[in-house]
Order: sequence, then structure tokens, then C-alpha cells
Amino acid sequence: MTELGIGARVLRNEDDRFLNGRGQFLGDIHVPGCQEVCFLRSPVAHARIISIEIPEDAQGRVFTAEHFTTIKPIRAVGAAPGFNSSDYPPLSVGKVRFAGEPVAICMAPTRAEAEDLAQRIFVDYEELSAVVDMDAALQSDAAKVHESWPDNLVVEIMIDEGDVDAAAEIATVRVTGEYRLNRHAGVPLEGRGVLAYKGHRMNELVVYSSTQFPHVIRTILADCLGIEERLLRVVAPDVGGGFGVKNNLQPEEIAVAALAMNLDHPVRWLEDRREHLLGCAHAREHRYRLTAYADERGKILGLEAHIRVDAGAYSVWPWTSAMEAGMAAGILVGPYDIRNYRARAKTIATTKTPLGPYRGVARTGACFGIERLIDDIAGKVGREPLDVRLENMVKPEQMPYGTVTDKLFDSGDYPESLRRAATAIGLEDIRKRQDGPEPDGCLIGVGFGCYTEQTAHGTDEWVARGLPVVFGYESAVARLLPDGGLILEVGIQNHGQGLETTLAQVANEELGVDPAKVAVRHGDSALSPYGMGTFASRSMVMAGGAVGRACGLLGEKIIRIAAHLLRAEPAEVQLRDGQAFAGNRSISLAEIGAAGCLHPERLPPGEDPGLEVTTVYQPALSSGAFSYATHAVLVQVDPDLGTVKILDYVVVHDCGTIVNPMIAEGQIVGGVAQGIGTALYEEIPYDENGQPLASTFMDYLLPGATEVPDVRVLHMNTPSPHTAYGIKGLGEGGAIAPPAAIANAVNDALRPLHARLDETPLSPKRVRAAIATAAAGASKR
Amino acid sequence: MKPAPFDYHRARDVDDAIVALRGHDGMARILAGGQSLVPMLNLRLASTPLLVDITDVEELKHSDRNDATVTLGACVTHAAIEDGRVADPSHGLMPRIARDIAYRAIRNRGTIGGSMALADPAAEWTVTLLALDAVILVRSESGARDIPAADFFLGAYTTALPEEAILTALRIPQLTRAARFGFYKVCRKTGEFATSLAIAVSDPERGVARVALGGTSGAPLRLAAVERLLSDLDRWDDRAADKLRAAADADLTASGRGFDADARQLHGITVMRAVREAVS
Repeated sequence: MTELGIGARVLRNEDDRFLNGRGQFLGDIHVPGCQEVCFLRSPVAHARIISIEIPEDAQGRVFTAEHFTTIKPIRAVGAAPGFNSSDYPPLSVGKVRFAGEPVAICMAPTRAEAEDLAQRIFVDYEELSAVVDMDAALQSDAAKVHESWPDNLVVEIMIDEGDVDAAAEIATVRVTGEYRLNRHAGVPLEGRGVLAYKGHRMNELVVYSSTQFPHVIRTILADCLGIEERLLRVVAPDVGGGFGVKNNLQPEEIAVAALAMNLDHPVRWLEDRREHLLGCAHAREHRYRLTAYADERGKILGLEAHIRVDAGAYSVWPWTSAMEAGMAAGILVGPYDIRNYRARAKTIATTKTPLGPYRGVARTGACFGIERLIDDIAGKVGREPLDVRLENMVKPEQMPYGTVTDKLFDSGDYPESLRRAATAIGLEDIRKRQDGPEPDGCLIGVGFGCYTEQTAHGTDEWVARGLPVVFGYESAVARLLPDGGLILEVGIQNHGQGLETTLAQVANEELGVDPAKVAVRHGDSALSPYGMGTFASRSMVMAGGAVGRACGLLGEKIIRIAAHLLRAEPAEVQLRDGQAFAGNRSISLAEIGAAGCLHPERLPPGEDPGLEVTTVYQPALSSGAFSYATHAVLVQVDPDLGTVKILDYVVVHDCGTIVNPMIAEGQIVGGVAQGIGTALYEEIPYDENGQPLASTFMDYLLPGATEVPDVRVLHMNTPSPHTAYGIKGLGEGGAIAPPAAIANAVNDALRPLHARLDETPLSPKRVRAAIATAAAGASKR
Repeated sequence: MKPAPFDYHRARDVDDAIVALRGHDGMARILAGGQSLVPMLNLRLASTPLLVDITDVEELKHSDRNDATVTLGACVTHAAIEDGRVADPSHGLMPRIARDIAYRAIRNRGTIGGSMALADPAAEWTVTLLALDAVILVRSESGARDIPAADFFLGAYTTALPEEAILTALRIPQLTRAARFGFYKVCRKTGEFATSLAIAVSDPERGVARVALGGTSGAPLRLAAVERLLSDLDRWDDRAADKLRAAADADLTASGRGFDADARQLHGITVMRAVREAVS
């Protein structure tokens, strides 16, 4: 490790512009002549559109699907047999299928005037029955979301590995539980946004979008618009958080881009918070019915799962609506050594906002299911939940370990993370404290959540999932300038991950260049080689690998030039501190840059001028680098009010080699904050008419500074054997375990009252209801 | 989330504001702190032909104290009360309530008069001023009127404030030094509106024992049975707690609002904790 390279706590290069309010988000970009648009959205969940009346004086400023007949809809078809596909039109065609679906675009000089215009449009809706509850959606009397389908089932997948029936036969303990993770929203600080105009100089359509993957958006957007990719430039400027909800092709991207093609001025749409809660892809909404067959020590001999996911009205591109249920079934066994496993996973369509990827994708639900089940097993066999976890966990000597669903755990010591978390939270002392009453009459409880996080999965994994794009690699350009500064051009998109710093640290590791002298260019299809973007905890591994490789190759040339200029052998030359050293002689990167770019006469004989390398990287093994962690939480429950307070929160985390511990810790804590949101606050319930009941921050609660405790993050470091530098991804992990750990802790606290709670968020009302139900049951007994 | 068009008038004084409000079919709205009204306008859940901004009216920002009462102008902000920049009739209760309202950014702009006039059922000041037995001072073209808090709140977002009238000030009786109070609020997270809040005020020298409850679906409630208990209660124990829960339950039933078992549990606990603090 160098002082500024991999492993160093370097302050972020991007801090200067962000902390001084100089970021350039969609709302900060001013293009002359730009008009603003707002989307008229369906106020009802399910209806036929009889007519849309546009006032005469608004012609030319209001646009519906009829104005864009050549535009292709979003079509994301899953690979699983029997997948029922549907079109997701950028603007409704004939029918609306969720409250918030875009029906028309209204354009005006200002957003307020565009909203005035929207209020004057009359849409005649013939309402149809809403399809609100995923289980009811499968009943024969449910209305159909898509008429051409036989019912509302998108697809059902089955897994049957080992011999669950034989396990059930010999099991002495059988535990069944129903666990639910309810629906919520993504809520990045910056909402979505699109700005589009014709760039006449390059004869191209320029689309700015607050997206996580601009290159891929260019490809699919060109297809939907029916134009050549070379004539489309997609720019993701500063993006204020994505969390997965900006990792879809957005209907609004298509609509605004299509509109700009037909205008002689720019147009912009900025999503407001209400639109975000209504119209942007939602998260979670999983239901699990799980049965464990175990022995008297709680060792799981077989696991049976019935998983249902409410995917909402449409299938999002490229992930498809089936991704959540498929991943949940594939990762449900968690870090546990379970060899007999049977699962049915249903993806169900309803007249609700489409579901899409959100930090933790499916794993948060799967973790909630299996970790709650483990606690229930422990209760049944009368053992400490910690011990039942240890009983079942994959042991370090089993590494590398192939799971029953063909995931390959590459390295690590899972039980050790659990033991360290138990020590750090003070499990033994908490158990002693629970023997007596709390002075304030509250109850305390401790809970654990363990998980593995498949990160930076490459070609094999995406091919297996059958997606339209295989996110198998990342690209990088490394370019040394005549003054010794370095430019990196990468295909990922940095939207809060600190990649402008961590990629510079990788360059430092290879070239000794000061990270402050490295410019990382990203997020613009005109600026870098093709790349996949930032999602699925992949960028540090993938783009880090690509930058490392590009810089390594560039370094070889730099060393050859330096050796020539220093009259030394290449083997003697070392790059550090912005210079090349050979013994006690040195030469600066600036002098080498000048030689390479401006003075071919100074180069060794036969050496080509130029100091630029373009390359790609794919991990040696493309099934993913598995990070893992244990979350441990101590909570206090006020049984009279049902309120939950987090007293202590510990994360023991292993993401292999850490590039910048400050950034890694920030990522983990940020993820935990979002997981606390899932666990305790965030929810979009719907009424029986399919109306969302949380469409502003008056009804939708997010954890704030006062709700997020000081999370204690402890690191373990088991480098991946398969990635450059041994890096494993970590972007999503923090958000995976909090609902499981917090629900386990709350249930632990409620144990003396015999109350239980298996649904998020664990709101005071739900906690009170659980206590009241238990009390009513006790009085009956 | 941008408002529909409206006209805007910045009033010089109360009379100017009253003149401006005239006409408009009673649809003109007064803008004070704007912390509720402006979001409602932005969401287009409310609209108005005219906003009459009264934040420049000096008279409405004043506070006065005499022997018996403190008068706070309608435009006194929550932050001014929190910081003790205006007279306090309550020996600390009002600053403590103010400190707990939403976030500081909201407290910097939000006003006590605006909160009272809106009468959000989950708001703090409505319950507080009911518990303090304040008088609401109102002016309109037809003159000035005083409305006791007990008569002011008619329901959720509904008050006895006449159309085209302005709530100008609140006159609050001073508590004696011997007065005790308790306050308990439940909200989902810091800064959120309350799901239940209760305030108990006991001032034996003046024969005052008042308990008010907010966070219900309607106007803030005075709890008569609980108040009778409070006036006789001099120390807290388990028996007092049991009697108090029963009294609170009786009051909730008497309100005729159809509180379900969960609401009775929630409100019963907040009332109990407020009274316990006032007595302990």
C-alpha cells in the first residue's frame, strides 16, 4: 500500500464541488430556449381511456401517445419459460394500469405554466377494478391487468434441489413462518430528470438524464426512438443518488427524447417528489412462506419456500419484472449450508407502480425471510439464535463453497463475522440485562442479520439470468498528459460512490500519480469507451480492474521511457510520488508526459509516441465476488406506545481489499440508514381502489439524522481470489440486513409478551397491534 | 408541484390586510409563515385568487405582558418562543413545546397565529392554548372580537374564525410560579406531526387543572374526568395511574368520536404520561 493508493483514507476529489454547492445536476443545467414539461399522470389505478380532450389553444403544447406513433414501448421479457410479456408505453395507449402512469406531456416556458396546462386537459376514464393485493390478484375473480394474459401471474419459477421430502421425513423439528417486506420507494436526494435537444453541430440528439448507465441507455433509447446510436449522445451529469431506481429505462426518458426530436428547442423534465413516490419504480414488496425441517439442535435439513413478489403493472428494462422473485429464490439460503431446497417463486402483476431494482435487490427480502426463520427455529429448539446460526453457517474450511442454487462463495470466514458482531454488541451482557426489568418499563432486544452479497457478477451470471444485456466487463482509458496529470475515462457513472477518488487511488497504486492530479471522466457516452454503468455493487471491482489494467499497461511504457531518459534498465525503474526513480536518479511524470506527447525525439528507439491506453477488464471468475457481513442491533421497545428505538448498531463486514476505508464506511452506514427506513419507516400502502396512500413526505417517512444511530463498522479483509487487487463490491450490502436484524431484535424484546411481528415497517401501530393480539390470545387461554 | 397562479398583496397594517381580503368570494388567503399553506398550494390541494402577506405588519409581531396575561401577536414565530425572545406566560411550557415543533427551519418561519388559524388536528399550539385557556383575538371590517380557545376549535382544520377576518393575537393567562405542567407527544420520528399529544396544566393557586389532548382526527379535546382527577392528585403511584387511564377512557368515550381500542391505548398513555409529569 502506498500513502495515497489502495487502502488509504484519502479525502474525496469530488468534495470540493459538492460541498461548495457547485455540482451540476439536471436542475443546474441551463440551455438557452429550454421549455419545461410536466407529465399528466393517471389519477386512477386501472381504467380505459375513452378520450383525451386538449383545449384548442393548447394544441402543439400537449402531446399524447398519438403524437409518437413510431416510438417503440419498453419491452422487457424474462428468459424463464412461460413469462408473460407486456409493453410499457412511455405514454398510455388505450388504458392506464397504475395511478401515476404518464398519460400526456404538457410543455410551457415554466414548470408552473406546464402544470396549469395539465389541469386543463380532460381525460375521460372508464374505471376498471383495481388489482391491489398480490395474493388476491391470483384469484379467479380478479380483474386482469393485461387482457391478453390468462391471469395476473407474470411467471412462476421452481427450484427443487437435493431431497426435501427425505429431509422432512427425518426432521424432528418443523417451523413455518410467513414474512413480509412491504412496498416503498427509492427516494434519492435528486429525483429523476431528462433534458433533450437537437445538437446541430454534431447532427445528434443530446439527452441528459439522471441515470446510472448512460451508455446502455443510449443503446436502448436509440432503438426505441428508431435512430442510429451514433446520432445519439446520452449524458448523465452529476447524479444525486440512484439506488437502482435510476438503473431502468424510464418511460419519461423516451417521451422527452421523442418530443425533442420534433421540436426546434430544448425541453426538460424534472421529477418532483410527488411524481417520484407515484411514478418512479417502487421497491421490495415480497412475501415469503417458509418451512424449515431441522434437527433438535436447529440444524436445517431442508428448506421449502413459497415466494410471491408484487411486480406492479409493467416489466422494467432491462431487469424484467421477474428479477426480484428469481433472485430471492436463488439467494434465500443465505450464508447457510442448506443442501435440500425447494422453492416456488411467483411474480405477480397488479395495478400498482412497476417494481424495480433498489439497493439490496431481492436480497433484503430474502435475508428478512431466512433470518426471521432462523430466529423462529432457535425459539422452537430453545437455543440462542446466535448458536443456531453458527450451527448452520458455511465454515471457512468449506471455501470455496458452491451453494445449492449454484452460487459460488469465493472466500471468507462467515462464522467469525457473526462471533465478532456478538462480542461487539455485548450479547452476553444483554442477556443478563434482560433477566431484570428496565427502569423505564421498556423492553430491550437484540437481533442479528447475516448475509452474503454477490457483487460485480459478470458474464456467466447475467447469461444465466437471460437478460438482454450481459454486464460482463468495464472499460477504461488512461491518458498521461504533458504536465504529468492523468485522465481516466470510464464507462461507469459516479453518483455518490466516491469513484472519482477511488479510481484515482488505483491509478496511484500503479503509477505513483497523486490522486489529486487525476481527472476521472465518466457519465457521458461521448467521453469514454462503452461501459455498463454503476449498479449491482460492481464499479469498484469492474472499473477498478479496468483502470488498474490500463494504468499497468501505461506504466510499462512510462517505465521504458523513464529508463531511456535515466539511462537505466527498465527493471531498475520504480514509479512513486509522481516520479520515476532509478537508484538515486529520478525524473518527473511531467517530463515523461512531455516526451511521450510532445517530443518523439526523446523516446527510446522504436517506441511509438503517445501515452494512452484503452482497455477492458473482466474478473477471472464471472460468478461474482461474495462480500458478507453480520449486522447486530440492540433495540428498546416501549410496549405501551409500540415505538422502537435503536440503542446500538454494529456491522462486521468483509468486502475483501478496501480501496478507501472512509468511503467504504460511508457506503455501509448509508446503506444501513436506508435499511432502517425499510425496517421502521418507509411504506407506500394502497387502498382498495389502488390509490397510493403515501404520495408526499407528509405521509411517507424517511429516517433522518435523529433516526440513524452511530453505526459501528468493523472490517474483516479476505481478498477475493478472482478479482484485481482482491476487491469485492460493497455498495448494496448495508441495506440488506437491517430489516432482518431489527425485526429479530424487536421480536426478541417482545418475547416476554408472546407477541410477534413479521412485517415491515415495524411501525408503532403494528407493534401495538402485535402486543394487543398476543394479550387477547393470552386472555382467551 | 408548482402553485396555480394567484395575486399577491403585501399588507402594510391590519386594516390594509382586512381591506385586501374583501371580495374574492371569501377565497383570499392570509400568508404568514406559509409552512402549511405553501406546500398545499404547491401540491394544488389548495388554491387562492389572492395571498395577503401579513409578515410585514409590525403590530402582529409584538408581544406584551401585564399582570394577568401575555399577548402574543399572530406572526410571532415558533423560534421566537423557543428562544425566549417573547414574553412567556407559562414558566417554560411554551418554549418547550416550541422546541419540539417540526424542524428549526420550519420554526424560523412558522407562526403561532398561522398554526391556530389552520387548526391542524395534530398541531402543538392548538392543544397548548386550549390547555392554557387562551383567548383568540380577531379583527375584521365589523370590528374586534375575542374568542375563548374552548369555543374556537370546531373540528379538524375548522375554527370559529369568521370569513374575511384576521387572527391578530393570542391572549394567554399567566400561570403562577407554583404551577406545574406535563407534556407528552408521540410522533413517528423527529419533526413529524404528532399521532398523539397531551398537555396537563395544574395551577392550584388559581384553581386550574386542565388537560388537553391532540393528534385525534378532530379538534383538540379537553378531558373533564381527567381534569377532576388531576385537581385532587398530589402524588403519583400505580393506583393513580389506573384511575387516570379509566378517566381518560371515559373522556374519550364521552367525546363521541368513536375511538378504537388502539387509539384509546395510544391517547390513554400520552395523557397518563403528561399528567404524571405534572404531578411528579
